[in-house]
Amino acid sequence: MKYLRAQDHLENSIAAVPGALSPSDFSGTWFNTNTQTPGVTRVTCRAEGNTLRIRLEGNGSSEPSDWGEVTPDLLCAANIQGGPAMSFVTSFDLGFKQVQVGANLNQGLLVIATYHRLQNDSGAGASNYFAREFFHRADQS
Amino acid sequence: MDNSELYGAGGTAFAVKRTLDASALLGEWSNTNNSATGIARLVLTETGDQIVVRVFGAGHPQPFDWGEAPAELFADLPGLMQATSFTSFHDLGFMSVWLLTYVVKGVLVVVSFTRFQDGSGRSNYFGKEFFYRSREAAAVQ
Repeated sequence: MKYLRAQDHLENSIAAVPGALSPSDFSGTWFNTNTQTPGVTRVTCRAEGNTLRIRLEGNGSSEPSDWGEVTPDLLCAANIQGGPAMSFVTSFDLGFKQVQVGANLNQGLLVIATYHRLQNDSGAGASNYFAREFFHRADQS
Repeated sequence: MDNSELYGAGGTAFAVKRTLDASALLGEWSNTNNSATGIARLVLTETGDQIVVRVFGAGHPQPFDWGEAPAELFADLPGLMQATSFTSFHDLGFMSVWLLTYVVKGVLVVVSFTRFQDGSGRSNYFGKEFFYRSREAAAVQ
């Protein structure tokens, strides 16, 4: 078994069963803990079997009101042995910018990091930027 | 400044991208946990007009050299010049790893999303590790 980090060297007997990642822990509507955020206000996650669908929404001013719905590039478990999915990587193409998104569940929160890559690089002005925001489940508001 | 100063209604960009100052990221970053089994250290260098990151996975007696990958830089806000985070993608054949990072109070937080492509049964998994700046850019070159 090839590995490039000590923690990735596992005995075959404790390796995970491929395809066992379930995204159901993400299901539901999540609201930003900061009600004044200029960024993402709401996240909606739908689990269809082992497929997760994610929709982001902004306030319609500083961010688009609807980013559309995407499927993650990758779902991850908390460790190499597998288990339920607790994180994902995905991206949104909003035309004027592309946004890479990394998210994980932690202590009942959905933590989302967004990396905003602007498409217009013709001169001085705005820059690519990063944001990290926290979301609680809708039924806990 | 919040994002609304840079984007018009509906998120339409009227600003243009600017080049970021990488000086706060360049150099060597070592894991705060000297018994770490994940990533031991990262080295960011400037090559022409590109920033590259070289990752060393924890290993014994020597760390595993993952080689270099381009790093894309991001600021804390769209109007700032100083890069405080980066992303990179490492295709290592048998596995691929997304690194999404950011600096908080001098600590580089590295979030990793790992996918195994070798049929070994190892699960995709999420990791989060912390790094301090052990050498600045001039010492690395």
